[in-house]
Amino acid sequence: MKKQFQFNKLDLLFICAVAILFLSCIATTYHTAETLHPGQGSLSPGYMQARSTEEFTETPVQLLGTSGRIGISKRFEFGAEHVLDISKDNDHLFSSVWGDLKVQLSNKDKLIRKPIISTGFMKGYAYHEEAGVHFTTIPILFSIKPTARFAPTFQYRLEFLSDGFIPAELEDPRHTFALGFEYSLRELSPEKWDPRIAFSIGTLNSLSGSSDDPGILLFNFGFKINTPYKIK
Amino acid sequence: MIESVEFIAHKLLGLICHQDPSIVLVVQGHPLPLCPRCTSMHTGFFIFILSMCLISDEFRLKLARINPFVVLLLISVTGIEWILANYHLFSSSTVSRLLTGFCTGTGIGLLLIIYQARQSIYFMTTLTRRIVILSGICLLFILFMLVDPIQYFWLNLTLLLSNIVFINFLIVVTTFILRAQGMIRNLTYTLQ
Repeated sequence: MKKQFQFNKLDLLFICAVAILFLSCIATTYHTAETLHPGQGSLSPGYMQARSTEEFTETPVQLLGTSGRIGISKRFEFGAEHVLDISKDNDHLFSSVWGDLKVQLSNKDKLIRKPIISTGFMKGYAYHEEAGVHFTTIPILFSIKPTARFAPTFQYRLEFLSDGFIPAELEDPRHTFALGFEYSLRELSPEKWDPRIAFSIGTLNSLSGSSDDPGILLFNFGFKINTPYKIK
Repeated sequence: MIESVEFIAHKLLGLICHQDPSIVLVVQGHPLPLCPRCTSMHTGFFIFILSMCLISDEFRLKLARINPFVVLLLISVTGIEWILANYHLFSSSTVSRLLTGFCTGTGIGLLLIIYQARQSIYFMTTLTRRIVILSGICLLFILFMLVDPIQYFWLNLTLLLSNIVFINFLIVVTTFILRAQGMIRNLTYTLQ
């Protein structure tokens, strides 16, 4: 079989270039319930767009994230992310740094057609002097892969906003629901880089943590690349 | 009519651009439906592809021998300018956005030529070529015959941009279809 008729690097390059042409203003990151293999790394520069459900035509909040993740063991994964608020009028108000630990609770062999449930703990800090907000988040993720390359995922996040590192009160939490998928652009192999595209759509009951907020719609579309790893 | 065109163009092109009101160009009191970077990126891509229709196949194949990673540098100009501006290391202006966007659009056009040549895809099918030519004629008609080009300059620009984005989309989709066809044909042949 000629290599030319298989999916190759030039295909990937062209897809990325087309995404720049049509989606240069809109690109994001996304994570499934499956943890990375031990020693495997993942890089995903990406972006989230959040629009008010009541004033849909208003200028959305746009956040650009750059995240790095690494598989610690078969069930544990650590991630760090920097989120830059690129909404012009916001003066980087929602820019933040994040760290998280993900634990895969089921299907540790990562078999296809078997559900994967994971949870974890996320801490974030919006470092703008006018914001200064700490985030404490508990996510629950559910994925089931019909094929090795396709991973639809449902995600729920319970999030508390506080002035201090540890939330003094567990009131008015934010609830995020997201439904999406991740698709590998090439056949999976431990020796090869694994480029992926991802899309998700979801709702968030409030961006500022206020109960008066009418709610936010979230749109995600982005790229992700997982590094090769060794099988132990 | 202007309000309807403004509404439809903003809704449709809003799918591919953030339309940040603080940076979009305002012409005759109406904002353009694409930000300066997207405007020049799509224009650069369109002009490059249009110019490729006019040159010989030999020259196009010569262009296709350029290393794609050199093209990547051209494409990344907008990203570099955007990152520098976001970290306050460079002050973006409309001119800098237009120039870097044009470089990126041209780079993506060049990558399309390289991609098509190396993956054995026809530069353009007869149907796509006809649509591009027809769209070109429509654009000229809109610009110079249908409405007063000066009085309705914003309307002309909006229609022009919408048409350019549509043609660019068509070219990219055709390329993907032809590529998929080649892959499926090869897979069928292998299975047989």
